This record gives sequence, structure tokens and C-alpha cells, in this order.
Amino acid sequence: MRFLPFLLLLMFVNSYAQVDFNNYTTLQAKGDIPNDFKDYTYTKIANDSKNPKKGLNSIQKSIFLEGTHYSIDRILHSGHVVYGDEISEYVTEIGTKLLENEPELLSKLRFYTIKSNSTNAFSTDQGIVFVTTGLIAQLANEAQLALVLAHEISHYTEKHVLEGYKDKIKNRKNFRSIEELSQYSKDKEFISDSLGIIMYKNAGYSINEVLPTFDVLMYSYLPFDEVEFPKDYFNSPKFQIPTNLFSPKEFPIKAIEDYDDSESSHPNIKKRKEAAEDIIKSLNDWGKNTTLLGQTRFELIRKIARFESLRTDVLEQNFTDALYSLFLLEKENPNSNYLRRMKAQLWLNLAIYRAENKSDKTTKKTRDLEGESGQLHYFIRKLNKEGLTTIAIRQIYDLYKKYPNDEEISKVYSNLIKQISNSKSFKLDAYSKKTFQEASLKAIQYNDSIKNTSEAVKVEDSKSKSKYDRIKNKKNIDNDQNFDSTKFYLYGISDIIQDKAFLEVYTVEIELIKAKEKEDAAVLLMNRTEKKKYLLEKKKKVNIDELIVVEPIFKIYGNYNVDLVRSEQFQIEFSNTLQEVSEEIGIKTHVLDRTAIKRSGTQIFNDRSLLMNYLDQMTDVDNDNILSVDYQLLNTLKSTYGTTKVMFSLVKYERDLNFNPSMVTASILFFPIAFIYFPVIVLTGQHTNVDVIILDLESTVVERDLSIYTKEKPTRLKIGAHIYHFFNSIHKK
Amino acid sequence: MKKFNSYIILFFSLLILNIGLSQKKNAGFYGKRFYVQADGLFSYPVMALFFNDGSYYYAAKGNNLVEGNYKFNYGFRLSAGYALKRNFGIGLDFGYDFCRAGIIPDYYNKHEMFDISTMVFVPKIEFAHQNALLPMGISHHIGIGAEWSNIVDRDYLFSKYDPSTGFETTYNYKNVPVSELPFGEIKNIPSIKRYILMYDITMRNPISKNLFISYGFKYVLKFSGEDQESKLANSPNFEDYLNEINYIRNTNLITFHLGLTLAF
Repeated sequence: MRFLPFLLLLMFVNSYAQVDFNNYTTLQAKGDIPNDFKDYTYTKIANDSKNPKKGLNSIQKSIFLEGTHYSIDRILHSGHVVYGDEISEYVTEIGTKLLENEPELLSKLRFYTIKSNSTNAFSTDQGIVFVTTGLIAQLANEAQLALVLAHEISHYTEKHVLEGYKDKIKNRKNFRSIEELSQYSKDKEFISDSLGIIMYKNAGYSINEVLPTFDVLMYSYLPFDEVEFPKDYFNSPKFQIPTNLFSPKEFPIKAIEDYDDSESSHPNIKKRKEAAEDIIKSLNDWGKNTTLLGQTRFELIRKIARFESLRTDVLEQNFTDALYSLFLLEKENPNSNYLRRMKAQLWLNLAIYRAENKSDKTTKKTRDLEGESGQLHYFIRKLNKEGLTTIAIRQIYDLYKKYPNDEEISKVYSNLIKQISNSKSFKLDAYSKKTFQEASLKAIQYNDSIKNTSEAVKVEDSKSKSKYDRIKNKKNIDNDQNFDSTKFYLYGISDIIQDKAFLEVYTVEIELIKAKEKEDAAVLLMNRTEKKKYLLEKKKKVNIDELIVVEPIFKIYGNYNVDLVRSEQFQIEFSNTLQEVSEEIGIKTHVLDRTAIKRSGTQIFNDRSLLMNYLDQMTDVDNDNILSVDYQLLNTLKSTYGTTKVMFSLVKYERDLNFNPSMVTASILFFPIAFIYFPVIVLTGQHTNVDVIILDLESTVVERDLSIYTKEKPTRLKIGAHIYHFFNSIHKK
Repeated sequence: MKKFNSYIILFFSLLILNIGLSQKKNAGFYGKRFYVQADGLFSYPVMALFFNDGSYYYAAKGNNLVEGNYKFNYGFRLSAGYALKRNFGIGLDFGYDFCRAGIIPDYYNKHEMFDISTMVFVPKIEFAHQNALLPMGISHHIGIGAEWSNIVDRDYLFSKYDPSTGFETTYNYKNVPVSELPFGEIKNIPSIKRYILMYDITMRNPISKNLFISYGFKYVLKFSGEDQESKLANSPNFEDYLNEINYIRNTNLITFHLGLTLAF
């Protein structure tokens, strides 16, 4: 019996220590699904409308409820929010500590995590407190998180969302300036700061962590740590990067406390710190705790957040930031398979984005560089396409050789070969069979030998070669006199281009590409009938019996904005129609929508989030070689649902009776025109777009797509008919 | 007529051929490609009324003839169609239009407006936006066909003015010997045939997986395709009759139609 407390402690420690960072997978929701994620938004609005909103008339109340509920639900169902996970549970526990004496208030609050790299936390009028992984990754201890949470809880207790809305209404009526409106918002921040500090103090947290929390916020735009990036980070015996590719100077951190906040919603850090100091002075009996739940627990949570930070950067195409995070995380986790896989993915992504000329998105401009990560941004930006591709080959090849049994790394390697085979700028014979060191040594020896050779011998040697030999000599990278240190990358894969296994796969890919080019050329020469027949035959090859259907999106545009309520109601109908039609055709579907989430809970919610993230990642660049950042988890979907085909769909509808003034004038002048013109406009003034894609998770290829524009109002039957037609074309009975 | 028949035969041969070729490509509306449509037609004769003050249009009011225009034309159509592709189909319209024509025997005598019944027969093609799914949604129909107009044989009223007494006497067709009828026996007046070019914009809104509410506008141009004058030469006042029928039909440019379509 005396071991019981120890056993309980052990169980408790185990409950949060079971995060395998070596085989890390992204945070997923756990446990029972909260009502916030289950209920339809219009139901929430209907329920909330029973609560009074002081100071709002019925129209304003309806606009307020619609606006807040839909924007919050958009976040909840964005695929980036989780509940019941390690971070959300941790945050809830801190919230419980903060509100130990206010159980009623605590019972109204829910704490969820957003997987985002913005350093943020916010509360809603409905009592939801969101915390981003980006914020937790930046914090130094639990006390800092507690202060941020206390601040957000105070926003909720003071009903600042509602007050902010009222301010906006007043501003519209009285034409107040942005500065004035901004001041209202700043006042609310000061109130929340002061109430938050009191709540924080009452929970027993340390006075010493109040002001540093503001520093965290000020420098939160920088990576989660500031460690010098070594210039030899990419070097190996087979690959050398000249140090002159890195910046000779450092990139100073420019953030200041007293920035201009006249148009900002938050006061600047200096003012907040000063106000906080006043409150601190006015309070006595401060606790000394930087943690109530344990520093080890905090560090574990922060580590999860930092791993998420890396994943989010890959997902959001901030590849250079991700590389820096990877560099930081590798130090603490040198044996993590996850980090290796991310490294392989990162380099593949960098090569693809550079090939697609989209690398501007992945690195910052020199003038924006700050801190230690600036060096890495500078280097990646300075690399040319060939240089970057070569480093990618080197890095991925080394990982593949070291971990040949890792499926994800092997897939990245195979996709890399596909990518370079398809690249016009990548030429295998442009690369040297010598390493940088060998080539530079030979070049030195050559230069020395030239110095010692008499002019007569040089002339004689030159005469013995033809013009063409001399041209070929100049082009041959392996000639000692052609060594060029600025093209260091040409000496970076000398072993790879002599690796038979690599060459075999590369040659197969080249052959496949040639065959495809040949086929495309033949299609170009086909007449219309032949082309139609060819395309039909190609379509016939697709046969889908089973589909995962990700929640369809339905958007009805009203006069100015999306009509949120109608859109949601149509969305539910559309989802039902999809299931009905698929049954008629004989395609088995697994629909991951709000209804299924309500019915089956967390598993469906997580699967839908994964697939939504996957779509986000895939839509940015049209390249089949990109792998999902959640490759491991996506693989499990195949076994869960028994299919690799995933369908995404979007329906947009807009009513627009666009009368052409000249035709209206013509109709007035010669009225018979009106009998033709007006009926046509009225009948054709509806615009509906239906877009559907079916992706294959295995090949990452879009198997089939449907893009339809009609001049009709969408109804369940109409959309269903189009889907029926589409399903009929992808399923052989 | 022979030419017209060969045209229809050719049309249906192409239809059958196309059905065979397109069978596999088009799933149709929930798997249905055949459809029949029944429509009521309504048109307000704006043009006719605009150019006509109604002086010669007499309607029966009890046993008297009073001046007045007719208010609208009406009719019905039965159509059958087949969607060869998702946005292309062929079909056939058959139906009757009803209108009234005001013809007077001479300046002094009045005659009740004739009821004119016109049989219409139009093979047509139907096309829509490339993403459409026939028969659903908006479709455009173009057809070339023919129509045959006849006077409905019923008991009309007419009046005769006696210049000597200044009196006007009203008669019923049934009560007057055939020789006294101002236009002779109606059944002897031959029908007037015209070729027609039709454009129709139709919206079919599904209300179930088989049934649509259909509505739209029909625009029709008519061309005389035969020597109508010689055909009607034996009818008294044939020229007035011919002109009026042509006028009434030709000015009836636009017709609204509303009905149901059944897909199967």
C-alpha cells in the first residue's frame, strides 16, 4: 500500500511521457469529441441566440452571432485544431490551476491547440481558448504560458469580443479614426493584462516571469532558439561548400520595444511592460513558482510544439525556416527517424520549389534577415538552381544509403530521381567524377606543372590537338585545367553518378519520360476523333470502387459575402447527395464530414484533418513528387479505409443578373429585343461551379477531376446529377 | 411534302445512328437519356395589338357582335427528346396553337373572329453549355418544321348591313343556307401551310430523379412554302383570309411555355 503513491506518480508520468520523438507523428485529437466540434454552426447560433447580448439590437445580435460562430467554426474545422492531445490537456490543466477558486468560470471554458507557427493565443465569446503550437515553442517555462492564458481568460470574462463589436458599430456610426478605434482595443489589452497578472499571481506563479513573457512576444517572429548556424553544416568528405556562399556579416535583430502602435490593436511592448510593472508593484504576496505542473512536463510539451513547428513550416512551404528548426532539433534528437524523414522531405521540396521558380516563398529577402537563421536564408537564396538540386541529391542520397529500409526516405529518394530526370537543367554528364577536394588538388598540381612547362612544349602540345578536341577539353569538367571552385556543386555527387543502382533507376526514369514525350507527340498529331478515342481509352483505365470523401465545401455568395447559413445547410445536403449517388452507382464511400464526425467521433475528425492538410500541401505546387508531411499517418488511412483514393469537392454559387447597359438601351429603343434579351439574362444569371478531384494517396497523382460551370442554381438533384455522371465515368459496373 | 418527308426520315436515321454511337459516353440525368415533355403555350400578341386598333375584330356577346381584340394565344406541345451527349440531343415537337383571326367580308358587314387552329410539327436539335447534363438545366433548341393552320368549324356569328334601311341583322352560321355564308362552307377552306424556323430557350428544373418543371420561351419565324394564293383562289375573300392568318401567325414571335418533362 505504501507504494501506491509511487505507482500513481509513475502512471501519471507515463501518461505524458509516451511521446516517441524518434518516430514522431503530428498531434492528433484524442478522447471524446467535444460539442464544439460536433454541432452544426447554425445549431450553435440558434442555441446562443437565447442568451442576451447587452447593447445589441436583434439584427446586430444576429450579425454578431453569425460572424463569430462561423469564424470560430472555420478554425475548429480547418484541420489545424486538436483537442484532448498532450498540449491541449496541459493547457487545460494550467487553466484549472489559474481558476482553482472559480469552478463556475472554469466549467464554461474549453482549451484547444492550433497547429500554427504564429505566436498567438486568443479567446472567443463562446468560451474557447485557443493556443498555438508556435507560442508554446517560444516559451521558456510554464509560468509564461500561465500568464498568456490568464490574459486570454480575462478577455473572456470582460466580454471583449462583444465589446469590440460594439466599438466597431459605434465607429461606423460616428466615423471615428483608426487610431481612436485602436485605442479602444489597446484599453482592452491593458485591462486583460492587469486582470491576467492578478489571476496569475493568485495561482502562485513567480513575479520574475511577468516581464520576460512580454520579451517572448516581442521576439516571437524569430525561430524558437537562436543558435549559430555552422558554415560547414552541409559539408562531408564527399561534399564541400565554399564558405564565401555564406554572409560575412551577421544579421542583427531589429525588434524594439517602443514601436509605433498608433494603428495597432495591441499596445507596444514598452507600454505593456510599464503598465505591468505598475500592477506588479501594487500586488503583494507573490509566489515563487515558475511551474506548478513540473518543468519536465513543460519541456516535453514545448518539445512537441517545436516538432510541430518544423512540420508546420514544411506544410506552409517555409522550407528554410524548417531547415533551421531541423538543425536546432537535431542537436537534441540525433537519432530521430522523424527528423531524418523531414530532412529528406525538406530537400526534395526545396529542389522542387526552385525548379518551379517558386523559391521566393521559401526564403526571406536579404533586407528582412534577422538573427542566426538569417545565415541559412542567405545561403539558400544565394544558391542557384543547380547548386540547390545538387545539395538535395547529396542529402537525400546519403539518408537513403544510411537508412535503406525507411519507407518514407526511400519514397523521397525515388521521387527525387523522378524530379531530376524530368528536369531540363539537370545533366548527369555535367558533373565531375572527382570530389571537390580531389579536383582542387589536381588543379593545383596542374597549375604547378604548367608553370614548369616550357613555352615550346605548350605550343607543340596545342598543335597536336584539333579545334574540336580543344572544345571538348574545355567542356570536360574532369579536366584539371577546368576546375571552377564557384561551381563547387559539380564535384558534390561524384560517387552518386558512379553508383550503378542510382544510374539504373535514373535511366529507367529517363526512358519513361522519353516514352511519355513520344506518346504526347503522337497525341498532338492525332485528328479530333483519334484524340477523343485516345482520351476515352485513357479514362476507361480508371476504375474506382471505393472512395474516401472529404467533407464537401459549399459556398453560396450573397450580395456582398458568403451566405454562411445557407452554405452550411447546402453543404450538409451535398454531402448526403454524394453518398446517395455513390450508392446508386455502386461506389463504396467513406464520407468524412460533420455528420460522420458527430456519429463516429475523433477518428473521423483526425482523418479529415490529415486529408485537409494534405490537400493544402498539394494545391500549392502542381508536382506529383511532393510527399505529404504526414506520410506515415496517411499510410495508415489506406488500411483503415481499404482504399487510397480520396475525393475533395467544392461547389460555389453566385447569382448575378448582369444587365449590359447598351443592350438595355437597345431594348428600350427597339422593344422586340427586350423579349429576347431579358428572358435570356434572367434564365442565365445564375453561376455555379462544381470542382471535384480524386487524388491517389499512393501515387499522389490526381486520378480524375471534374470542373463544371453551369448557369443554374444548384440544388440537391442538380449537383447529384453531375456527380452521378462523374461517378459513372470512374466506376465500371 | 415529299421533300419534307425525306428530311424527317434522314433526321431519324441520324438519330438512330447517333444513339448507337453515343450509348456508352453519356450517362444522362441519373442514367436517363430519353425524355418527353408536355407544355402549355401562352403568348400575348403584343405586336398584333400594337399595330392593330381592333376595328375589324368582332367578338360574340350573346347574339350581338362587339368590337374587341383577343387577349392571348395559347396552345400545347408534346415533345420527345434524346440526349446524345451530355450537352447535345435531338427531339421532336408536336402540338397545336390556337389563335383568333378577324376577317370581314367587306367594309359594311361584320364577322365574328375565326378560331384558328394550327398543327405544328418540328424536328429539332437541342444543345446546351458544354457542362450541361441534358435534359436538365438551360437548353437551346433549334428546329425546322412545318405548321398547318385551319379555321375551326363552328357556329360563328356574322352581320349584314342593309344600306337601304340602314339596319344591321346578325345571323348564325347554322341558321343560314350555305350559299348565304360570307366565306362559304368552312370545311371547304383549305389549310394554310408554312415552314417554320424555331428557336427555344428552355429551363428544366428537376423536382425528382424523373420529373422536371420546364419553362421557357419559344421564338418562331414562318415562311410560306407553297403557292397559297392559288390554293385558296376558290375561297371567297381568300386574300383577306390569307393575309390575316399570315399576319396573326407571323407577329406571334414569342411564346412562353410551361410544363412537365419526364425522363426515363
